[in-house]
Amino acid sequence: MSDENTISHEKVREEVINAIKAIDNGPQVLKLYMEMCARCGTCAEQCPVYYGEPTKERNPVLRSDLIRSTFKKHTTIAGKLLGALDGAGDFDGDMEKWVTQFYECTGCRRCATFCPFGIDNSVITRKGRAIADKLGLTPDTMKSVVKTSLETHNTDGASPEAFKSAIDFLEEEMKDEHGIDIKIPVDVEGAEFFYVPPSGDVLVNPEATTGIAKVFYVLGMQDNWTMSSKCFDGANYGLFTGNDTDMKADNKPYVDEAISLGSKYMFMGECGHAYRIMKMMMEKGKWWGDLPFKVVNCMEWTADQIEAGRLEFDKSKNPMPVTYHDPCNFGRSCGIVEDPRVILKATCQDFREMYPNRGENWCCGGGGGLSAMDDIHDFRMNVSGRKKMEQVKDTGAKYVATACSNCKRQFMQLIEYHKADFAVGGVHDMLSRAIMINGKAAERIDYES
Amino acid sequence: MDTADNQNNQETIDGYVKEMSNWSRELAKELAARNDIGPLTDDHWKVIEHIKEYYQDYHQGPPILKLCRDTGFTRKYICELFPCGYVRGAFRLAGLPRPAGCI
Repeated sequence: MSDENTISHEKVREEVINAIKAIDNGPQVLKLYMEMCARCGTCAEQCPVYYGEPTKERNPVLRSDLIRSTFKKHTTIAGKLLGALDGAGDFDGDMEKWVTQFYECTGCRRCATFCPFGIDNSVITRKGRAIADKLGLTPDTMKSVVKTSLETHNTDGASPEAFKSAIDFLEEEMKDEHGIDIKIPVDVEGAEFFYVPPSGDVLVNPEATTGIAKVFYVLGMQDNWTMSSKCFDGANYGLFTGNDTDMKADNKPYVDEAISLGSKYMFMGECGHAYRIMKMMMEKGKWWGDLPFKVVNCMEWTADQIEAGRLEFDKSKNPMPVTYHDPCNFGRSCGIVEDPRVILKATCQDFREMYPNRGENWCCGGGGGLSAMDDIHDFRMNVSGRKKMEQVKDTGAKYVATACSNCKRQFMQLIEYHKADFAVGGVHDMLSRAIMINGKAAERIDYES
Repeated sequence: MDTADNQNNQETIDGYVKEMSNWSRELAKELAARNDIGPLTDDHWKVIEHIKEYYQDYHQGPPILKLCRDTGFTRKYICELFPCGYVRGAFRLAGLPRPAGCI
């Protein structure tokens, strides 16, 4: 950091304390979280990070206390009068500890499911990250993801040409698999469905996207959907850095693109946080006013088609034991829990639940953007991801399906690190391998074994 | 972050090649050693060359399935060649810049 950017220790303290005091003016829910905690420790028992290493630093109560104790000291009467007796204490100025701890919470919200008061520590974590971001202290990896995404509208910095090349390849691949032309339409104005996947589902592990293309083909809706060569990555790391301005700026081009394409549906892919932002945060009309499209998820859509009996599958194409990992943003934050199961049960011979699941599922250990941070690889492998590995092992599954690029990346690293014998992929990936087109499933080249 | 990364010599930044023009076989070998990959075999080089070529055309690495198809290697074998991952391992050795997001 150069001299002019260096903020003095005193200035940092002042800024942090002021930001914490401002919580008194809202949001109301955060203010309640500051006042309500009974310190019962229920959240600690349910936290994947604390489970991985039960120490003070990993305890969600104490992490949240970084903010809470200062809030009490400066704003509540009890805190001012009773001081430490009421859990009040002043901010110690240690920003390194601050950043480390708030970037060791995966924001999975499992604590909120079990807390008797419903305290959601991820909201406090996001506030902690927002305060760090304002001081320019967001970890470099996260900063660079946000910057790349704001500049290129995708978190990988991929060009429209790279995108189109990947799409061409997928069309060739489907031609080989089925002997017919199955289109992936790009930049088609007037298409009803505008498909927004995470970019990983096009550029790296693209079978989810071929799955979607095949569903539209079978339904005779090849011309009713499109992708955009400018907007093909729903990922939005503004959610993770706590910076609302960045989050909205990242979201806007997608809304504009849906409007300019004239689509009726923003058709979100297998990316939990992208869907959560579009559906739960943006759609209510708060950010951009009334919108001429609805936000739907591809898994909801496909599950509806399966239940209506419009798709047929050859399950023998997926004979191995398959389990589903509920991404926290889908399972806990958006209620998308049954749809992926409908798809997997229809397309796989041996679907097994892992326990607990759905809204109570354990985080993969890479949530909240941590999966992108290689500098905390050991922490993710040994601490935050520990419970997940145990859970998967108990199922005996050879394939973990999950609808989130962040989770997939964490899983891939866990598999490698722990020398585990299972694969990870998407939900529509399984569908792509089993769906019957003209009476036959794909003649697929086995790239796996 | 390891100390070698912090040195940020002229060719690399945060463990990734700074610019494609800095890339050399020697540098790839050095990055391999730093990341517990290798020793580099003909198969490693085949993957690296494919990625480099694709990157020259599209400024992006190829989807893993495309690489499998072009090289005849399975996904599993590629992961064995590059234990720290396709993107973080193979792309890195081919001189591609540090990837940003979830991939």
